[in-house]
Amino acid sequence: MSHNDHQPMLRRDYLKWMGAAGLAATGVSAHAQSAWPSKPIRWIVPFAPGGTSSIVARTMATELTKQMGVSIIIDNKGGGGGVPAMQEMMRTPADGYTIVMSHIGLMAVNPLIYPDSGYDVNKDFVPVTLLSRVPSLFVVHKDVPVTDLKSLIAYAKARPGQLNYASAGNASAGHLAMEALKLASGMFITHIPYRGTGPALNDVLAGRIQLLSAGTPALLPHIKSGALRCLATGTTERISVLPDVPTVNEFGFKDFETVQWYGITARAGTPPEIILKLQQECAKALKMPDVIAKNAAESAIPGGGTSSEYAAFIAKEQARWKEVVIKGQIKPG
Amino acid sequence: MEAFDALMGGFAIALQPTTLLWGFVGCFIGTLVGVLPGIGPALTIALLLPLTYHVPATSMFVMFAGIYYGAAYGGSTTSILLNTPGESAAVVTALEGNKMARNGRAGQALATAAIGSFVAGTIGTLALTFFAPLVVDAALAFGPAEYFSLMVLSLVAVSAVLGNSMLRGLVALGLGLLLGMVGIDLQTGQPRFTFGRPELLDGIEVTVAAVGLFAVGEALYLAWQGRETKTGEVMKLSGSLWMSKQDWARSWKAWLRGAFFGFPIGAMPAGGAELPTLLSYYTEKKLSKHPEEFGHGAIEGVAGPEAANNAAAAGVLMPLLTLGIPTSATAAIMLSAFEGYGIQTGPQLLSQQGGLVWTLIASLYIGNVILLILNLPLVSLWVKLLKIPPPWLYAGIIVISTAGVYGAGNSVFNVGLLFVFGLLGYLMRRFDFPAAPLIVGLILAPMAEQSMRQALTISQGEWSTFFTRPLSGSLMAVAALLLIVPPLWKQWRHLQAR
Repeated sequence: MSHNDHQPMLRRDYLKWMGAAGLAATGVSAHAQSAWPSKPIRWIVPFAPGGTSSIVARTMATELTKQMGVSIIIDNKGGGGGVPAMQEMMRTPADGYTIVMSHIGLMAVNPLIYPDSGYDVNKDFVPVTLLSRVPSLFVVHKDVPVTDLKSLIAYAKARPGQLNYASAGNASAGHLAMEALKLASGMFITHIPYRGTGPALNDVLAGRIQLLSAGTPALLPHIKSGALRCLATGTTERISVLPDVPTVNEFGFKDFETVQWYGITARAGTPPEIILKLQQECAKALKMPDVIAKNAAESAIPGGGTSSEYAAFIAKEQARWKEVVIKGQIKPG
Repeated sequence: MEAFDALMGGFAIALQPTTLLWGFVGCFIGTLVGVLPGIGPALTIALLLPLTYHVPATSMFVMFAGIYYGAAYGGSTTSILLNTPGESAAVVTALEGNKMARNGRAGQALATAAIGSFVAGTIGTLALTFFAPLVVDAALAFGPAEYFSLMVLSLVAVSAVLGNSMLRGLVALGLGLLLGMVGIDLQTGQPRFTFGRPELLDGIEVTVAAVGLFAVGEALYLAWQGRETKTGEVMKLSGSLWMSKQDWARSWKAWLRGAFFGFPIGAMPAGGAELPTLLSYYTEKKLSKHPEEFGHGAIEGVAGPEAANNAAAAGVLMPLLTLGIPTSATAAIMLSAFEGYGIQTGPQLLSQQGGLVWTLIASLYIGNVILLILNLPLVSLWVKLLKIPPPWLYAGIIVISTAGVYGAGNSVFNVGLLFVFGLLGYLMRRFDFPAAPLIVGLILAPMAEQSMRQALTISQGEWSTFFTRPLSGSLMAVAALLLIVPPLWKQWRHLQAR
């Protein structure tokens, strides 16, 4: 272990946490590996504070802190499609004291659209565990005269390029999901990117834009109120909050799956026993009532599997999105 | 009067002593983060969120309401006293506010800002109480075409902040518009002017630029001035700190007009608090009986924008409470807070969780009163800041700005950017270029470009969409009139006089 690898972290967190607790005062041990964890763990979340994902991370961090007896400090490093967060990870040692929240964009899409980021997600990082999968939904404004996916495809094919769909931005999960659907069904629908789900949702609610794909939490209340109609879910099975809505698979699109997922990733070279310990602690935390309640509120499907299961999942997602990104000519945003 | 009864129920809950105490804590913290440059309410609430899950929901919302309004108000204090806005919505306040302070009228500037914030905040909250459904429909009617027309109108209003030399002002505005182009092109995903730095992909953060140009730039300028002239600058306070009869007479209409701009634009999903401050400043300058005072410390130029800022803060809550759509970083965090308490936001929030929503609205009223009680006596304390010798004061400002910018994004890159803008700010002051147009350009450019291209995609490339849609067309017409009529009017008056 080099002598001052941990100094930047102490300074950084001191600023943020000086009012919260005297965490930063914890000593830095040179023999950290012998009894991991023996000092606070920094968890980089590649989003601005306040989003769904960092709320999930905070709830998890609270449970993990209780279980492991050391503080898990959330370090929000948003922007730049998550590339700066991963570059920051590259500057930390592979000792399990800095971990990052990995997600669909970071692991499966960025490698294709940011080839010069200076790291390889598969070689420089090692998966720890999948935390949750949030179903993505395909919705239309209530005045669009279609009732299911089949009638949408017929409607769109009769009007090539005249329908529009909104997304939270280029290469956002909703953009990818809709491009995947377009690719599978052969529809031609124009993409109109916004800055975030909120503004995109606004124009769909107003009926200026016909279609949208986003995660369950943002859309569910508007589906319940009748302002939006949910045509299909991107999951492989129907979801409990919308039992009457079929999956895209049910319309004959085999192996179609679009979910937004979040997990934990560490630096490659982290000792396997640390990865295993962290994965087991996460699996335990995911069964705690607070975390279960948070996941249920988002209708998220909890993970908790092993490192190799997560690795296999990521590999499958990378293959799936490579095709969509290349054929849909998706660029960063 | 169903809303009224429900509101009274909300007051009954929010007026409990312990709840009030949380309100005071919130207002205090809020004012503090508003005053500190670079640290905003969003970050503060995000950091406090995990701590507050142990507090009952009502107490937490009262505290958040305090932080929220407190920050909107606090940003003006440093704008006025030190020409260093703590947040981007307070940039316009600095224009006249700081001139007033330099004329020894810091007390009056702070007082009109505090009372204006109270009046506008109350009007905004009243509108939130009684007109929520109407305003939401209007806000939904605002699509990309309407936003673009609003941006065009705002660009006309920028003329009010160009300063003494139109050429210099336009240069600063053009530079701001250019800097606003940095980052990923939203429509095609093409990175522009990022020099391969991922930190620049999302564009230049307005807060960093504003704090750099104003706070750091001001400090560097004073350092240079002290060296060159050996005099430095000591601000004097003369006469009473309190507003005179004339100050009241000139302020109250500006407060009302500011609230009128602030609330609806704040309620629009992409409106924000910066545009209404600019539009209010423009209106006050045009309507004032003392237009010659603008640029030298006109009290309307503080009263209007400050009122607009706080009314916008109330407006921002509208889409959050009625549609469940967060339209600002702070609103997004409040949404998370709702979810943290297991409350599903969205169109049914009011019918399902009415009690809680009315408590929140009641606490907004209470927060406003607490702020006024807290801040009027503080005016005399704040002005004492000016008695600190400038070298110490400005060194402190640089330290706080740096810490604030770093803390907001955990980014060393942004700290570097802060000082680049600081240097630019110094050079601009040194050679008499105004900084406000640059910030306005930086805010307007990405919004205008994005809404224009979205509107054109929706209309399949028809430019007429900006003129044939009734709302958009009206805004364009107003912009055209504002551009054409004043010079013609001047010409006509000139001819009459002869």
